[in-house]
Amino acid sequence: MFGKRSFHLPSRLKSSYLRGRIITTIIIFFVVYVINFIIPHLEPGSVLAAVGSSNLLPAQRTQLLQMLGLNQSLSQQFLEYVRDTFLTFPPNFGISFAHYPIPVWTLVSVALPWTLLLVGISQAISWSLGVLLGAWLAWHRGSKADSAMLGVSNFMWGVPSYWLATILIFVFAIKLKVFPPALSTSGVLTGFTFAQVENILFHSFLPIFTLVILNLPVYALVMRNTMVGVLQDDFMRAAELRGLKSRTLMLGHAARNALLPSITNLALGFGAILSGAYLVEIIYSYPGMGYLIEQSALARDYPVLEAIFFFSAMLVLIANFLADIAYTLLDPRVEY
Amino acid sequence: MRVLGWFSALWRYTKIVGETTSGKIGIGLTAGFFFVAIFAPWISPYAPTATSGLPYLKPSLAHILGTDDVGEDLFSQLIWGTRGSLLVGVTAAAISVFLGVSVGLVAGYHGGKPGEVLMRVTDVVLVLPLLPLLIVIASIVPSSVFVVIAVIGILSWAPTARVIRSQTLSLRARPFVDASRLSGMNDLEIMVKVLLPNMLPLVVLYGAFAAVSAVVIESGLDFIGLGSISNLSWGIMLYFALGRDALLRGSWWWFLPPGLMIALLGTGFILLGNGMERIVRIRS
Repeated sequence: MFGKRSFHLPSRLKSSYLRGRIITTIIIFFVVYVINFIIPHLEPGSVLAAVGSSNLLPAQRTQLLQMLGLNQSLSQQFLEYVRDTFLTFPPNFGISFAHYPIPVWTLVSVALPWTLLLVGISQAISWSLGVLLGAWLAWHRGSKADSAMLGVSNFMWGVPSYWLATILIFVFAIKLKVFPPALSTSGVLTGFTFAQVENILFHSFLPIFTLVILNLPVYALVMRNTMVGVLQDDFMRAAELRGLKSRTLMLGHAARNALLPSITNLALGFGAILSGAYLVEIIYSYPGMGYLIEQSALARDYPVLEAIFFFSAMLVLIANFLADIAYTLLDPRVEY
Repeated sequence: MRVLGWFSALWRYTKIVGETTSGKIGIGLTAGFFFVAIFAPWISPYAPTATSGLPYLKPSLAHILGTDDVGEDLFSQLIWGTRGSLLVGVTAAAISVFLGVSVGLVAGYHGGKPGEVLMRVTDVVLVLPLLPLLIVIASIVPSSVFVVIAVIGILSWAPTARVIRSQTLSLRARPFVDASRLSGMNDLEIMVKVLLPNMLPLVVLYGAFAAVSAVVIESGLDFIGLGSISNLSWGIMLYFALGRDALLRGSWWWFLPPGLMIALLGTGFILLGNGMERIVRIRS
């Protein structure tokens, strides 16, 4: 689609760049990992308060401390924490308070695929359509469509995802009754079987649609702005003078060069995208990580919340790492 | 003295922003929300948490947006909510911009090992997912709006730091910086008196981004039920609206306005910020 240009990047350069990024990624992983350990220790008293232990007998309190491992020294606890994550499979993130004695890992590993499905599909749609729309708008900059879309993107920036979801439910599920308002009501939670794929997609339509409306304008805006800059570059004028067709010009030359910032945008904004998706899940009772957050937040089930923070950070980290790889593949000029 | 100088510079920039239509809208929206927040007690027809009518009233002249489940006036809540949301947005953005500008200036101006370390820290902060982390903290620490503001401010400065650093790198090489050094200014003076004023429009742009995301994130925390109810904000209004069946009752006048206000506040800030960014682009 973007022409047959070959990538002239010395492999030595590429690998040293990637090595740097891998090291950064590992550092970030450990920082997140340590934060995840420290937070509950900020206020050990309220951990007990959170379990509702204020009217416990002293003996019960001691027993509880022992059960949670809080009677050990901090360094011992940290060693325990490292052993639980790396030397056991599945990794041990503790036991959920609210769903005792179900391990946190079980809860998260059930919820995570649902979130990945929602975020994956919605971002694939909004990114690819957004990039195309942005390229088209840049080509027709100054037109009515361009300024209208500019207004929409500026507005979408501050729209809370769950509020948009509420309005869509109000319109499509309550007033028009074309889509179900919530996922869990039709009992599709039994798992992924082929016959259910259609059912799942039908029930996931509104959550996905919400996220597409929310994110597409932002991708379009970033792409449009970058591409307007690219269109003014000298090489574009040269290509134009060579008499290339405008479609080749737009997609093969300008869009390809403008793609990079939109990839960075996707990766850097991934944390915000996830947060938006979590809140949308809550409104639709979509059984992903967001739904788990809501249940756990109400029950002050902090082991689960902590694991969700940890996995969210990992997802953002992975997204950024993939973006780095895409960068080195797409841009022959990358030199770090 | 210097603060006065910054304000006059900002005033000048704002006037340039106001030359375009979108800039006018941005300034108008922002000024409007600040006006409502400051004068809330005089504008709102009722006290926001006083029973002023029957529960679940539909919009009427006496209650422009109707009443909630305990008969409190929703229009008054919307006006007071401006104060709560703006407090979060502006304070968190101030903390975030202060940290981001400091880190960016130092990392860009000094470079070397300390700069390298600062940028590594920035890389880490950049990928921390704010809402999940905030949820963990809010579930452990007793919820208070100031904790929320501090956490958002402390964790959202990274994009600002990156941009300010790269601007500092490019400005540092300009002749006027050398001239200032020869005239006897020390590093701190050059950063604060020479470099920073040149970057004010960018600071406003990134402050606007930070403020919008702070308001949206705080409302998300409210929605989950971890917000602080003592600070009446638009998010708290939405939390009550959705928790008390506004959706099933079809009371769109209850759940529509607070979200719309958040989005409009965001639009105002972003348009103002974009206008400022245009100044930077024209100048360079």
